[in-house]
Amino acid sequence: MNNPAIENSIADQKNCSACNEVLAADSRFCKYCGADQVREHIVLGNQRWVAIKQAALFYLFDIALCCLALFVPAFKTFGWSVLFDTLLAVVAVAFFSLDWKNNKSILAWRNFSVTRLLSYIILAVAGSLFVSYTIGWLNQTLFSKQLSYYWLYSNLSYGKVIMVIFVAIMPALFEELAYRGYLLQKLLFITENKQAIFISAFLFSIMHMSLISIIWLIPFALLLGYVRVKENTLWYGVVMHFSFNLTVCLIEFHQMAHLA
Amino acid sequence: MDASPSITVAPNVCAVCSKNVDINDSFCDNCGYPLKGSEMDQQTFVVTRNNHEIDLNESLKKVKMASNTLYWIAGATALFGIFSYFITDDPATKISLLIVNFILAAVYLGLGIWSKKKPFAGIVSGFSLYILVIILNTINDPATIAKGLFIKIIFIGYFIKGIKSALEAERIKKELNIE
Repeated sequence: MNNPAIENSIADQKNCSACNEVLAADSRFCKYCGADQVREHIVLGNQRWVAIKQAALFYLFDIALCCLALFVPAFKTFGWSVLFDTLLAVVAVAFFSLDWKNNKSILAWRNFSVTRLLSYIILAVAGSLFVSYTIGWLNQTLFSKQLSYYWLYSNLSYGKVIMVIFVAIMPALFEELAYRGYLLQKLLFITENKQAIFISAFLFSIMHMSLISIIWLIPFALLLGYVRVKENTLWYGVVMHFSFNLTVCLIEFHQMAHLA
Repeated sequence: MDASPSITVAPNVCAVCSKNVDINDSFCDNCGYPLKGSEMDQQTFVVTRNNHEIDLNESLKKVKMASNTLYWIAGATALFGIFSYFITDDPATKISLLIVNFILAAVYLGLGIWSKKKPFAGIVSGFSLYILVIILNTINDPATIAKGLFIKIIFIGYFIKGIKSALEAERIKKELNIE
């Protein structure tokens, strides 16, 4: 017969890692031999410092590439932008696969749910619509700056297709792989979930080097980080990021058609 | 010297962390105090624990320095914004310089305040922003990297020590089971 009281009491127990005596689940030390039951989590101090340095190296690579692409006038052509996007992708893949053992689990998509996927997509599209109209307006009034991606692609044949590839597909895949994949996974090893999600979101946002955009980038990146940790997979985030950026592209196409 | 603490408290309460213990236990299951150890064992335990607490205070001091560095940078950024506003002629440039520096100052201030609660995240974020701003300023005008170089190096030193100490403090807190 099942006795819930007994089942509960078994769930509340564990065995000492040194002498194997039965202990209460929340015991920090064995009351029989004194062995520390939480030490495994603690002795990682040195490894955590190494992990910080690895994350910093990755971030410096990204900063260097973004600065070159953004601030060297000679690189502001379609050809160069393709090269830099490719290099960023290579950095993301390289760092991610160097730590393959710890990272591979988040590439799996367990507990796939269509409802959840659709809710996340709707959330991303709604967010994107809201951001495009409010922040676009803010940018224009404060800095007389129009956020536009299409100018880079407008002269190319299949410009719209190429823009969707480089604005929606590539960032969705490789930014997620880099920031919610490699970086967040490292940070989760170094510190607790909340702090890790915040740092990855903050670093991701300031990387875009647009002060006004930080207002929406941080909440969006926090959401992506939260979803990634909650669902334990990268893919919901990839789809959300793709939906968000695709909406931006579609709005721009719509405005272009309207102007023409 | 004080007598061994175990003499002064009831036998079913741990002398070090005051958690309830069973009379038959050899060790406290919360802090690891050797309840039935020799006086020597017990004293060694207390001394080691006190040393950890000293290390913790030392780490927390360095964390505080890094937090305060964020406040200093916030103040300096705001002042720089006001200063730029008055020395720039172009009306559109001067207002956007003011806004940009004020937003930056607010971000540093926010991270500084938050770093009191979550030191690691606050300091890492603030430090990254600080480095990125230095890089962007250098790209914009390479001469700026030399401006206040000494202060910059000191700030960076405080940040790095702060990050290391924040981790160390988290570790010791876990080990001593305190929040």
